[in-house]
Amino acid sequence: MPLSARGRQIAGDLRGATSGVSAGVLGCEVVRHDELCVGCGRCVSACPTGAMRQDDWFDPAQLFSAPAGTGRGALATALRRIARHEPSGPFRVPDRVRTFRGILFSPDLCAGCGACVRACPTGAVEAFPVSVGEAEAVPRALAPAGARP
Amino acid sequence: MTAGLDHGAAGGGGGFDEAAGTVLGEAGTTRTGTRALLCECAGTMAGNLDFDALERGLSAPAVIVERRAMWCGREAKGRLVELLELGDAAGRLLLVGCSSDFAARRLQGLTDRGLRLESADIREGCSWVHGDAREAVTDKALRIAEAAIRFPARQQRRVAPRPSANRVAVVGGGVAGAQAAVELARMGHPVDLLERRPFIGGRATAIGAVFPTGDCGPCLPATAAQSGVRKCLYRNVAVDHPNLRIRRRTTVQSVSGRAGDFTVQVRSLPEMVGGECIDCGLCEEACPVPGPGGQATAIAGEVYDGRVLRSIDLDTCTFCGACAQVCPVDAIDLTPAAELEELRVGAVVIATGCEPAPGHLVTHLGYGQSHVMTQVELAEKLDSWQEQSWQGRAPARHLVMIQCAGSRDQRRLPYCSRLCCMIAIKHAIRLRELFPEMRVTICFQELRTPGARDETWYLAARRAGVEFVRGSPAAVQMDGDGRPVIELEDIGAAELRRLRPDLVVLSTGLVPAEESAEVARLVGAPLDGDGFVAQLDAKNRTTETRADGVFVCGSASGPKTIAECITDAAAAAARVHDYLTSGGRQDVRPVTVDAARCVGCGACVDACPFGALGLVDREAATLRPATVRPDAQVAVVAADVCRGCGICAASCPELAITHSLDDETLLSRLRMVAGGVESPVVGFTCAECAAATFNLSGQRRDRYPERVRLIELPCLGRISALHLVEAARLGAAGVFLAGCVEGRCHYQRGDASAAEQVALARDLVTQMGRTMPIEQWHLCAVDHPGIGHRLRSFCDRVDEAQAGVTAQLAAGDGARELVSPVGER
Repeated sequence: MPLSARGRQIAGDLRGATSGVSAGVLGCEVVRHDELCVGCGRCVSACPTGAMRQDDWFDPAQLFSAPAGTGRGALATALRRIARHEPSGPFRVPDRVRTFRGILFSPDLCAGCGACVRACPTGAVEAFPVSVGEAEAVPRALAPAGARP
Repeated sequence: MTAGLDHGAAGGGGGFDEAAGTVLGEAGTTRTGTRALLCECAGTMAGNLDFDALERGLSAPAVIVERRAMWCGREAKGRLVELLELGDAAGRLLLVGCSSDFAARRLQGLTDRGLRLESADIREGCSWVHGDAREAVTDKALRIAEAAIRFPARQQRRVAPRPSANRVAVVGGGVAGAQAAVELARMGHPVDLLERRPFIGGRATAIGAVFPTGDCGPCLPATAAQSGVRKCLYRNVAVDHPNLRIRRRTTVQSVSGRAGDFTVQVRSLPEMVGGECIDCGLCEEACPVPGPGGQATAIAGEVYDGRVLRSIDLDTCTFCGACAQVCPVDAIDLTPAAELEELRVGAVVIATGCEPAPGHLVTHLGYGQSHVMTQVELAEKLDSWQEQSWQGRAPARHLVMIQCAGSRDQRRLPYCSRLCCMIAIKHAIRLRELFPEMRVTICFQELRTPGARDETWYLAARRAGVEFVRGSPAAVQMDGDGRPVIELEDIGAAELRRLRPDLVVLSTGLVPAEESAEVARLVGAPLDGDGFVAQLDAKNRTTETRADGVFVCGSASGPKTIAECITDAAAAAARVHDYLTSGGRQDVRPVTVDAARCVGCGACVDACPFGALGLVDREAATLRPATVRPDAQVAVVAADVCRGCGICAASCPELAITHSLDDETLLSRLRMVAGGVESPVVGFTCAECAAATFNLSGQRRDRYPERVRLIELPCLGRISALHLVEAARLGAAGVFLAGCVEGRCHYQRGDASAAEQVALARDLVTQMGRTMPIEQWHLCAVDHPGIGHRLRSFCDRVDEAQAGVTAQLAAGDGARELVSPVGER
C-alpha cells in the first residue's frame, strides 16, 4: 500500500483531526486530513465505490486549518484580517469552482483499495494496513447480498 | 503639501501602509533604473495636479524623473530617440501621463522602431476625470505612478519562434477546399488536398446550374493569369500547380503533434482503374453489383479531369472480377490494398462542407413516398428533364415546393440554412422555363432573399409566373391513389387551402457533413451547438477554429452559397499563410509554474481555455511542497501556447503559478493605489474592452469621484478571491470588475472565471461580517458615454450599503446578525 514517510508522520501528528476512518475489506484503513486537501477531486474520480464525493458546500473553517505558506493559508491570513467574527458556516460554492469544495468521505462505502491514496497529490488521504482481526467492518456496498441488514 | 507617501521606508517595505505586514510579502520594489517621463500634457492637467509635488514625490534613488510639457511633441520625440539609442542604459522607461492606448498611438513611429515604453495613466484615469480637489488628485496621481514604478510587471520571457511545417492539409475537396488549396499552393505552400470521394468538386458537381450566375457550379480558380478568371473543373483539374497534391479516396485517420507541426495520418483507397482506361464503359455494363446510394453499379463514372473517370466503390464491390474480365485494355486491377501515409503539416484546414438533412427529418411531409422529393434530388433530375421538355411532355402538371421543410423547427433542425429559399426560386424559374404549362407553387413562412441580387431572382420568379403562398403545411397526406394532398392555412388570403399537386419538392435544410465531426474531433476543434465546426470568433475570426493551427472554411462552419464558400476559402488561405509565416505569437508573457509550490492537483489544466497546461511526472530533484508525495505530478506550461491571461493563476489553490502580473505585484499595486483615501472604491479593468471604454470616457472628461481607484489587468480572469478579500482588508467600500461584453472575453473564459471568484469572495467576505458590494460589469467601447454616471451611482450604492450596516450596528444588533443567512445544509 502506498504510504509515504510523510504520511506516517502526518498520521501520527494529526490523528485527531481526521474526518473519516474506514476499515475496508481489503484490510486498509483510509484516513483523510482536511487541512491538507486542496479539493482537486482526484480522489473522487479515482474511487471505485463512490465513497469519495465532492461537496457543493464549502466550510471556510477548512481554510483556517490550512498550513501557512500555501495558497489557502494566504487566503486564510487575508480573511483573518478582515474578520469581525468567526465564519458563520458552510456556504454553497459556484459550480465550476472545484478547489473550494469539501470532499465528503463515506467510510461505510470504502473498500480500502487505496486508489484515492495514489490519486491524491498532497497526502491528504492516507491508508494504513490493519491487522486481520481488526478488519471486521465490511462495507455494506461490498458485503455479500445475504449479509445485508 | 500633498503626497503623503513615505519614501523613506527601507527596502521599499510597507512604508505606505499600515505596518500590519502583508499576506504574501512585498513584491520586488526595486527602483533600479526606472526613468519616469513625467508629462504635463500641454498644461491640460494643471488645474488639479501639482506637478512640482509630483516630481518631488517621484524622485528617489534609482528613479530619474524627466519632466516635460509634452512628451509627444517634436522636441520630446528627439529625446525619446536618444533614449531609444541608449538601449538598456536608458533604464526602464515609464511614461507618467496618458493611457497606454493613447501613448501607443501618439508614439507609434518610435515603438515600431523598438522603443519599449510603459505607461502610468494619470490623465484619462485621474486628472481629466476628477474635480478641483488638488491635493487629493495629486496624491492619487502619485500613487498611480508609484505603483507602476515600484511594482513592475515581470520582464517578458522570450518565447522562441515556433518552427512551422510549411505544408498544409486541406480536408475536403469541395468548392471551398479546392479553392483554399489552390490559393495556398499559389502562395507557395505545399498542399495536400484530401478528398474522401473519388472526385473533387463536392456538392456543387451534383446540383447543376447554380445561382447567382446560372452556370455550372464548381469552376476552379485559375492557377495562371492567362487562363482567365476561372477554369473548368470538368475539363481539367488544377493539378498543373506543382505545389498542389490532390489525394482522392483519402480520409484522415489520426492527427498528432502540436500546432504548427502536426502529423496527419491519412488512409488512401487504391485507384483500381488505371490510366490505361479509354472510357469505353464496358465495365459498368458488366458489373453485377448495385452501388451505394441508388447508384446502378459498384463501378461508376463521373465527368472529371477532362474525361469520364471510373472508380470502384469498395464498400459494395464483391471483387468478382467481372469488370476486369471485360476491360479491353486491362486497366482494372483489383489487387492493391489501402495505403497509410503520414503527412507533416503546419496547419489543417477543415473544409468538409455540409449535406442535405437526412430524410427522417421530413417524413411528416411525406418524404420516402412517391411524388415527394427534396430540392437536391430535383436538382439532379432537372438536367435530365430537358429531354422531356423538348418532347413537349412534362413530369408534372402541378408542382408544390415546401420551404423550411424540417428547418426552423425546434423538434428537428432549429436553424435556418439560408440557401433553401434561393435554391427553390432558382429551380422554380428553371421549371417554368422548361415547362411553361406547369403550375409551380412555393409555400413559405418567410422568404429570405436578402441583398439586391437575390431580390432580383425573387422578382424574376414572380415574372416567370411562380405562385407564392404564404403558409406552410404541418403534414403532407396521401389520397387513395397515392397522390399528395396538402392542406395549409394561407396567411395572405386568411383561408384554408387544399393543394393537390402531382409532385412535392421539400426544401430541406443543410446539416454538417457526416465526417466533419470526426475530423474536428481528431484535430481538437470543438463544434457549435448545431454540430458545425465552431468559429474562433463569430465576427472577426470566422475562418479559425478554437484549436490553434486548425482553420475552417466553407459550409463546414455553417451553410454557405458557392460564392460565399469561395470568399471564405480565400480568407482562410490568407489566414493560414499568415499563421505559417508569422513565426508564432508576439508579445505574450507566458505564465510559469513554481514547482516548489505546485501540488499537481490539475485545477489549472482544467481552467486553461487554450490547453497550455499539462501535468507531468515530477523529477526527483525538483523542489516540492512539504505536503506533496514524492511521486506526485507537477504542472508544466507550453510557453508557445500560453496567451498570458492569468486564468490558471486565479484558479490555482496553492498560488503556484506566476503570471507576469504576479500576486505579490498585484497586491502591492492594490495596496498602493487604494491607499491614502477614505473608503476607496476599487475597480479592476481588463486591458481589452474595459480599458478602451474607460480611456474613451476619460478623454471625454466624464467625471467621477477620486476615491475610485482603477487597476488594469490583462484579463478579468486574473482575479482571484484573494485579491478581492485583500481589497476588503484595505477598507474598500466596494469593488467592481469591468470586462468585455458577456461571452466576448478575449480569452474565452476570463469573464466566467472572474464571476466564479466574485461569487466565492462575496460569500467569504460576508462570512467574516464585512459588507463590501462586488459587482461585475460587461462593457464595450460604445458604453463610454455612461461610465461617469455608472461610477457615480456605484459609489452611491456602496455608501447606502455601508450606511445600512452602520445603522444596524447603531441599533445594537449583534455582529452575527449582520451576516446574511447562508442556508441550511
